[in-house]
Amino acid sequence: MFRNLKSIFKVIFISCIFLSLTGSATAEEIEVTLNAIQKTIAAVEKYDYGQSREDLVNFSELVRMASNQNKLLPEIEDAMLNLLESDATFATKQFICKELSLIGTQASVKTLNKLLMDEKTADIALYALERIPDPEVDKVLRKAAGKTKGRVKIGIINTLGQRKDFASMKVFKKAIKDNDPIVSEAAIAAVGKLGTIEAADLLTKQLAKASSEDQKISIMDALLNTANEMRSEDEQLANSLYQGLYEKDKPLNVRTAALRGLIVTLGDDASLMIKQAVQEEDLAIKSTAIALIRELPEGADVADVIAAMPVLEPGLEVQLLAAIMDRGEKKHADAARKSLNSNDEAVRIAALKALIVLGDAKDVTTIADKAANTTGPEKETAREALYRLSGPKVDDTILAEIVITDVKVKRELIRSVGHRPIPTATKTMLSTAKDDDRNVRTESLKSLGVIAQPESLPSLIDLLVSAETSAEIKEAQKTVSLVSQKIEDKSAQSDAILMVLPGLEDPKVYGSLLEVLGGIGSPKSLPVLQKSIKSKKAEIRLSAIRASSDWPNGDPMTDLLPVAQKSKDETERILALRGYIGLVKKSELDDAGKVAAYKSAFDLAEQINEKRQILSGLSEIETIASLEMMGEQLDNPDLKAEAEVGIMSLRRGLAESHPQKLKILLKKIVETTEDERIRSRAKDTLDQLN
Amino acid sequence: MDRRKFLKQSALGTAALAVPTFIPSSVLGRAGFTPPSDRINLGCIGLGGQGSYNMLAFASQPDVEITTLCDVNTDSDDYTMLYQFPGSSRAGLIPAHERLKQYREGKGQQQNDCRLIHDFKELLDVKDIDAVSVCTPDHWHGLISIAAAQAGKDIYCEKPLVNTVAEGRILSDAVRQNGRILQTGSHERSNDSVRFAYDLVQNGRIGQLKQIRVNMPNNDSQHLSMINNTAIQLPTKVPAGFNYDMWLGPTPWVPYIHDRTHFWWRYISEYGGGEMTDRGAHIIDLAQFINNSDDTGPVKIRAKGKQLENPLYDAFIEYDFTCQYANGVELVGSSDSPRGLKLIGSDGWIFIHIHGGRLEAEPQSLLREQFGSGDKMVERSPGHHRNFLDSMKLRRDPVAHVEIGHRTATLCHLINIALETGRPIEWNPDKEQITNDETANQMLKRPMRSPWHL
Repeated sequence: MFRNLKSIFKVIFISCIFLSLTGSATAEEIEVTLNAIQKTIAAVEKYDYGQSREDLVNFSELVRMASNQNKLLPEIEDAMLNLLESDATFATKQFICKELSLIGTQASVKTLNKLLMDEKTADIALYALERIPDPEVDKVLRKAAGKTKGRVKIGIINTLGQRKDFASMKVFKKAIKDNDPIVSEAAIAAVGKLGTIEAADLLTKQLAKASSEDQKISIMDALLNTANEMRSEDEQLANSLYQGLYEKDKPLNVRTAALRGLIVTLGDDASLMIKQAVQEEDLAIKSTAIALIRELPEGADVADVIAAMPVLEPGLEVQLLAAIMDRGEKKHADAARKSLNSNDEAVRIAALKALIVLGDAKDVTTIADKAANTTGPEKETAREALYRLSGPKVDDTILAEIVITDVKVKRELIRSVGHRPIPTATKTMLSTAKDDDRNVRTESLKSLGVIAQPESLPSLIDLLVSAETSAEIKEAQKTVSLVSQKIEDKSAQSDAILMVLPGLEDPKVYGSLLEVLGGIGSPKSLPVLQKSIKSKKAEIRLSAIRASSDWPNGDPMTDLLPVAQKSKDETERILALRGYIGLVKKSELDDAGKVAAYKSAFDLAEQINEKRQILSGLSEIETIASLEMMGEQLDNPDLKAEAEVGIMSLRRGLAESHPQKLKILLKKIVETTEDERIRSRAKDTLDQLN
Repeated sequence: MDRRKFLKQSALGTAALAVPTFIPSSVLGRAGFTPPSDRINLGCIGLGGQGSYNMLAFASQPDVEITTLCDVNTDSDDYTMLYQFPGSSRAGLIPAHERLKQYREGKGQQQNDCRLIHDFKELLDVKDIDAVSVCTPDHWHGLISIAAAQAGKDIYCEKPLVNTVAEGRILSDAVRQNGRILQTGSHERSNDSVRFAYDLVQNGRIGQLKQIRVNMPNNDSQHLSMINNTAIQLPTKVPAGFNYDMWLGPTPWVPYIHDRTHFWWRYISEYGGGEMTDRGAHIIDLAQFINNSDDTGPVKIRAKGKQLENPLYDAFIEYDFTCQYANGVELVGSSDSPRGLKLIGSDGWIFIHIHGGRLEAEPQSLLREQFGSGDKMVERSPGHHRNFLDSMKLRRDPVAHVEIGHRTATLCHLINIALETGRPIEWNPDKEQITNDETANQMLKRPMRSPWHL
């Protein structure tokens, strides 16, 4: 019968939630009955720790339903109070008190007060009382504070403080004088939560006569709280409290807290406060004052504050630059510019970072010079600054400087063209790509890869054809490839290259363009690759193999396999096999086809690297065949680690379909692996499979 | 009292006090090189799996000296190490110290003295500690971090930052008031991929952000162990070397049962909020970040779900929820897989996998997007722990500063409250109050067992 009732509750509950979410029904449609209350209450009476909580959950659901409907709540509360008065277990009473904390009313106060007077149950009573909003609670707690001691009294005072009971001042005053220092500390903290003039007065007087250091700290914390609480009501009074706490005889952490209070309450005078604070000898106060520059109101005279700074330790100067940067006001860029000449590297780096936000076109030359002529983190930060410097004329200034500056700086500026990027710089870059300096040419090609558009392809191919060194050819190759891929019509991406190929005689350049075709992967160019893979010129054959290996799908697999099988040249065989293995994954073969392809490759592979590559590919194919293939390698010391990783990757996908085979392999891994992490995971899976 | 009179009297005069003062030992630090005298002295509070992991993460930094370890547990050999140190069953003060010594030995570092203590208050009294790593169960995060801020320490506190909304407000104010730096341990924020996704959204690459879908499944092995842990477990004697009363701290007294403590506390509402605050503090945190809601939150929350009924655990393990932000963006969540969040815009979507931050996108070309000087880019993080240390030196907010941690924890708790009450919530993020349900409003704070208090 009861189980049926529970089921009904659950159905009702779920419906209730659903209806409340959809908002399409009214709570009155659900019924909470007296009978249900009695039965649910009876079920929780004998609950104890460690037992099933099912009855508790049902009870919570009943309370929830009643709350949602605002129905029979007094009856539920009454039943709960009866339980608290009964000889129910402590665990039950604790649970009931938690529920009462959410629905309890004045009616609960009397019963909870009885529990409060018993040291064993005081905590659970306070749990409920603290949340019950009725003023009767405060009355009872005030009275109880006088009758209790130790931990119970502390709890009561804490609760009164938490409830911000202004009428408890008398109780708190008395408790501050308590012989028990924890009671006294609790009372001080409670007063600190009130945020009234009376509270401030009491705490100030107490501070003057406090005997112990601990008590002084507590009082100052409470005074800070009081000032914070009062800030919105009476800023001037809060400010006077902060002033007192900022005096030099106060501990540093109190002073720093008070300083912030002063800054946020002083309005227009806050800048002056910071100027004074940074003149102090204490590093912590200086540091706090500098950090608080961020909190000065918009429009504050920050320039005046910066100008008033004494000579700062480098660490503090870094903090100052970070604070100015965070304010983001470009008018303070000069402070950062000045610090660029610091003897301290950390300061110079902080200045460069600040200029990213605050700088403008005027800073291009200096920053580019830093990027060119410094090293390490400073160089990296300068480059970052050059890439991210903002402002209307920054791009124009960079392009103008490229023409007139020295080679080292020019290289950095050209680099920035690609990173920013500056789309209008193509003409300039095509020109600098023919510069006398090799590094300038290379950087220009890199930037062109980012900014050039397809209409520049003929010029870029010209650059490739006229490239002087292998490195430049490679760079130009990348550039042509990147720009070709910007053509929206994929089938047309290779047109420009196919057009110039027949006229090329240099096999190096020809091969280079073949490799570009491989990266593009336009079907139109596949016949060219197929023909080139059989070329009489070794250089062209190698490029064709590389190009086929880069192909975006598995189409060239049938061209690469014969080379891997039959070529007399070892390099060609290895490259073709690697290319073939790489294409298996990209191919449209089904899982069985891919495993078969990997098997053929495995039989051909002479070197361990290719075999590892194959196992890696197999680990992504969830079939018994791939699992078995990897299982065979668990005894191979060279491939054992890859096989273990591969089997672990497949274990979830194959657990249901092939548990037996998986168990055998996992057991072997647990017994033989040298990797503790893998052993632990394999063991977990084995446990689940068993 | 007369206000004018009070103003005159309020000049406070006391002798200088011997309390912890914080002059960052790193104030004179140099980028790239940190002389020994500029090292940051760190104390670690809470040394279970994650706490020990954080300890080693800090130990690996060139400018950090771990000087003090603190845990209420001396040495347990019955711990279930899941995320960190899998296979090990030891946790607590002694095992953590051994791990630290082994680490230092492995790195050829000097074996400096390290204080081992049980009481965090004692640790906070140590003057030469600059910062603390707080990695206790969630019900201790707020109290310890507030005390640390008041003691002048900077704080790296694990997520979720706090166990109630009220704690979070007080902690955030205490950190600001005391000029402290706090990094919440929601380290997914430091992933480059996450910040890249943020930049994609902010620079309009998916059009207008419309909806964020978050998936937080409860199907990992630890969830299944917890869900299946239905046997009656009677209370037993507290193990020697474990200060259980301190472990309970501000929460109601209950007898010791092994599976209540160690890793498993997170599925009991007094100590943690289940997956909602566990991984939710990562995933929902990123939703808050990407919606630019770091200092606010949604205005309406609706939720339904299923709570566990087993003898120990009462976390919600199934849920669906919807949160409405004032800017029109909707956050829709469920216990579905895969774990992560999908940012849905008018022109595309991005899915961020948790953990690790792997991205998927439609169109896929989004993942190859580049940003130029015309785009706004959020600052990258050099790693979550490193970002905290750098922020200490610059006295500037880290990537997951205190208000961020508080607002994310708030949202996680609000969803749990909506699940618990079964009623929709109307939330005022400025006043941090539930405006339509006084009972739910009471749940924003939680009474504390004497003598603890906020």
